[in-house]
Amino acid sequence: MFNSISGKINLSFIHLKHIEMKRYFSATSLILIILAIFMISCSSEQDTFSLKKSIFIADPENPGLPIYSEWGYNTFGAYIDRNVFVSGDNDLPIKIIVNSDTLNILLKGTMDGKFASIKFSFIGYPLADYPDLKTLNDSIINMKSNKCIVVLTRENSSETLKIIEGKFHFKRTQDLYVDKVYTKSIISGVFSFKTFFDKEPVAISNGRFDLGIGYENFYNY
Amino acid sequence: MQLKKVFFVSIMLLFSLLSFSENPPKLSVLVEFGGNEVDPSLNESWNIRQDVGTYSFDYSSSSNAVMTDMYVTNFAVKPEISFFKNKLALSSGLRFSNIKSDLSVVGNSSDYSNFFYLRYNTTGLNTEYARINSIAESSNYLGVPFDVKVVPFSILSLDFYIKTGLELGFKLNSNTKIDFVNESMSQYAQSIISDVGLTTNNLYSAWSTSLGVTYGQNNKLKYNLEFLLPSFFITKNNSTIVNTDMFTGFKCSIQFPVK
Repeated sequence: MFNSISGKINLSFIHLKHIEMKRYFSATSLILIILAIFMISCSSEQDTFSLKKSIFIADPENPGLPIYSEWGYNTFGAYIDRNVFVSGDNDLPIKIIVNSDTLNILLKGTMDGKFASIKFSFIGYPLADYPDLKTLNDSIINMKSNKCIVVLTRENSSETLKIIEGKFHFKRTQDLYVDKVYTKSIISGVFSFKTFFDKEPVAISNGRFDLGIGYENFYNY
Repeated sequence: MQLKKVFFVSIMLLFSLLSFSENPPKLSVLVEFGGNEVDPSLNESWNIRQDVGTYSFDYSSSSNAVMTDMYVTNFAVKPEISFFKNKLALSSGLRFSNIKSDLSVVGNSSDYSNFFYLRYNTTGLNTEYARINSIAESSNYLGVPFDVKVVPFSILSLDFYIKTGLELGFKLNSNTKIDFVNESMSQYAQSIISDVGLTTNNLYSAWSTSLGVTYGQNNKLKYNLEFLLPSFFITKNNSTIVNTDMFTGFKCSIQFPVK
């Protein structure tokens, strides 16, 4: 009988120990699971660098405008008084159209959130094709001269602007090579001018552009 | 001067521990393997862009992107000395670390090409880009870790511990590979890397803290598993491809008693 009771006590003790061990192991498992979850939550999200065809790097000194760059980032921007005229992602930011000896540079973007374009027409630049843009390197065009016409289009209406003063500076025009093969041209520069909008004088200031010109946006006809 | 002070204090601390501990210190040797997942960001010295074209293609977040990745694997042999019935342990030794980092394009590749453009030359009136599938770098370091381990509680044969440690490594070698779209560009790989003008740091140092568990009996073989809490690189430029700051990871080791 004593043996039987002792045996029962032993069995209960073993049972208790078993339960205790189970508890310990479940506690350990729980800690390990928490650690694993913690580790997973801490594991790095791989950083990505967004890729876009127009690379708009904001200019901290001129809010709303892209930085001045020379790498074919396909952006432009300028202040029109306090408003911003800037390239977007949707429209092709530039088309170059050569008619006879007139070089037309059409910049398309947004002004006050609405579509707008400015066309600069420079007379006396009979470029045959986009590689010839390199001849414009470091050239400054006086926009006050009668060899320059500027047309503003906004809200489906176009007006030829009377220029009070201004200059258009092709600071750097380059050949762009991909895998050592000539692909297109890059034109980069700055512009600023004063004109009239509805008989009110306005200043277009801090203008800058960095644009790739190739088969798709150069026309000669 | 500062280093001398730290060294002197460390030695004094070690002797104090040895003299005041009730039980004699125990020596063991750890053979350790670990892996660290690093939180990297693109090193902007690599002038990368998607295309030199002017057509728009996708404005959603699913558009292509360059992904950066970095992983450190390490292998160490470390003698460990423990005090106060294994409640405190110091270890040091030799650790080999391999740091792998890479750049590759991810995203909606069915919509768009699976490569990116790297601008590598902008001299004179030329700007040159190369089309690249990926850039990968591997660097090997041999270093000395110094770890302090505290075991606040034990359950059965499990010792739960917190460990913090510093590591200082020296570069053995480093290799950067560029996978070009146009294989004929491979001949320019070295000059492109030179033009970027970055070299991996000759030193590698990191500070890590981890939570871990040891399984095993005293004076017998023990097994350690630990998870790194967010830890930090002390040195910069251990990869020329990515910038690093924080890492997490794991370490597992076998601990051999030395009698």
